[in-house]
Amino acid sequence: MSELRRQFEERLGQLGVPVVLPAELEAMLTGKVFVSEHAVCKPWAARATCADPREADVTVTGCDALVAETGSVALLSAPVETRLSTLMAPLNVVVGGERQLVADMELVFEQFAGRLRPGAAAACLTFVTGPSRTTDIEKTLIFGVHGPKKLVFVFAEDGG
Amino acid sequence: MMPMPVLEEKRRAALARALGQTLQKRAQAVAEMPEWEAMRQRAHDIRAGAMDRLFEHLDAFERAAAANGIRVHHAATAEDACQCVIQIARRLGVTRAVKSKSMVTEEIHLNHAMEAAGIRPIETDLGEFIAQLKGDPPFHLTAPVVHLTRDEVGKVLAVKLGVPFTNDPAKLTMIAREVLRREFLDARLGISGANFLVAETGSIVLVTNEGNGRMVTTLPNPQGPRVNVAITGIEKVVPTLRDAAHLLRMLARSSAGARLTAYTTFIQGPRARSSGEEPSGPDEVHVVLVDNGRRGMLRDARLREALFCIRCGACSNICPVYHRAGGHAYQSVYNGPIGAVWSAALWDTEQAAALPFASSLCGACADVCPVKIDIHHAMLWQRNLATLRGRVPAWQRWAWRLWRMGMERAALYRAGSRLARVLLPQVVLNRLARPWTSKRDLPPLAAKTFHELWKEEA
Ligand code: SF4
Repeated sequence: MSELRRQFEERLGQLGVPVVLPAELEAMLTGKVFVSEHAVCKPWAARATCADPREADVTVTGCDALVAETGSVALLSAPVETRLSTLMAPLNVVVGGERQLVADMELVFEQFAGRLRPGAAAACLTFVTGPSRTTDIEKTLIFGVHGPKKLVFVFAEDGG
Repeated sequence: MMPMPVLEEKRRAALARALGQTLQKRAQAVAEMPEWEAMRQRAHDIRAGAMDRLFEHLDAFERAAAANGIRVHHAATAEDACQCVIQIARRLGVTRAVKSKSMVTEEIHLNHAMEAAGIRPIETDLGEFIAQLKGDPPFHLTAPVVHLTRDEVGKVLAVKLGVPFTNDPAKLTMIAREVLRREFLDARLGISGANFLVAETGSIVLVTNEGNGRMVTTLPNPQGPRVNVAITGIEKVVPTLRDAAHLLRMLARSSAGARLTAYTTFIQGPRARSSGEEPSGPDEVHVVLVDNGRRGMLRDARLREALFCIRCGACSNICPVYHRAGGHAYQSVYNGPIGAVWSAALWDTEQAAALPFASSLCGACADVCPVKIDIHHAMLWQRNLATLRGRVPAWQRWAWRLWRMGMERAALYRAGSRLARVLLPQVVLNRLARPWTSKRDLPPLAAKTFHELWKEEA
């Protein structure tokens, strides 16, 4: 396992995000399942039962980069829809490839410099770091305020 | 100056626990970075560089944002900023708007202005949602209801939403999720603040842990045009994406002890234009750049540093005055140490001018600040300004004048200190120092003055 991958997985662990094997995912795909058009999500395309991420119980989505320093998943808003599919459902499964790993946020900016240039295509770039959470009531940590209550990560088998 | 009211014993203990917990997490996150001091210095330098050439950076931001299709508005005053938002809402024909947490919108009293114009702003940050239901101003920069117990929160939701009472934070959060999810699915106008603006790319940077920042900027309603408005202060600009990345690290670690806030979004513009239609996202993105007194702070070399603030709330968490008095005692949307500085700088009122005096000047705030703002020296300077501007009560001016006369003439000083022993017995001293002496006595003046003792020894 590469050093970047080790660090990334450690961060995910600290954020309460399990890293599961593709085979383990099967059991989680219950209720209304939305599967995004990302190529890495192909293996689960047949499991989709819901075309609208707003109504899904589970969403399976891809991503654009992985950040080892913070355990973050980077999402560019186009061309595949990444906003609603990673935000609305109680459970979001993100599939990413080892090849997408970078050390820090700065390297994501470098990689996508062309799409972040003024006037370029991207409408937004989001870094998702763990599930949605709050400590607003007596500093008690609660998950799933507006976004996913649970985030699960899967490494694509072919390396993404 | 009016003494600040203190919190009741029980609430003070609960507040200390909550703030202490956040500080402890921060300390862990800082301990993980052996080069933390260098990181603070870099953050300071980034903010100093941004403020030194603020208007150049703002121009660059505006050009880049325009190229991205973002519309930039300038608001000299709070009133201008509110009008700008109201006009956008009217053109869109909406009567409701979802809002994510933004201190600038509190500063300009946007909610009040919108309601007066017949548009209902709905706060979607859990803490702000509770504060809005209760009708309270925010108690803390990052934790608006940190002073409320779970029972009190439960009561607010039960009374205002008509739901069965519960004091379980998880259940309370799920009630809010359901209510606010309906609002998100319906909304066509999303209002947010901005944590940073990036000059080189025209990006609006927004962070939330709950995901409401993403909701109000994504607007999942597929019916009709959708609009985002980000309202923020002119000081939020930073030159580059790399600068923003560094400050985001400092913000997450200082505010919550996290490596990064859960959702960090760089908004580049309306939903995808050239590479296919995106199913969600705004059709228009606006940014309102609010001045409202910030240029004045920029001109005063001793207040300029206050503009570096990234609103992490750490200075409140550590401040002994904030611990005892709580956020509402400041009677200003900006509270805590940096809030005192901002309030006195933005608002020329006796109330605001009094805030920099309500400090022990211990400097704990400056030590904890991730961008190394010399907060207590700014307060000291503001005390000076308040005195020069006659913002100090007349009895205090006279008291100091008297003291000065005595200090300048030895004979007068000696006579005065002997006279004080006759005119100021302990009961009188106690009366003068109320309410501080309601539960304790001031020590009586010593029988002999220092001069007398000195002479006897010699
Ligand atoms: S002054 Fe410093 S410590 Fe206080 S909120 Fe601002 S950045 Fe944080």
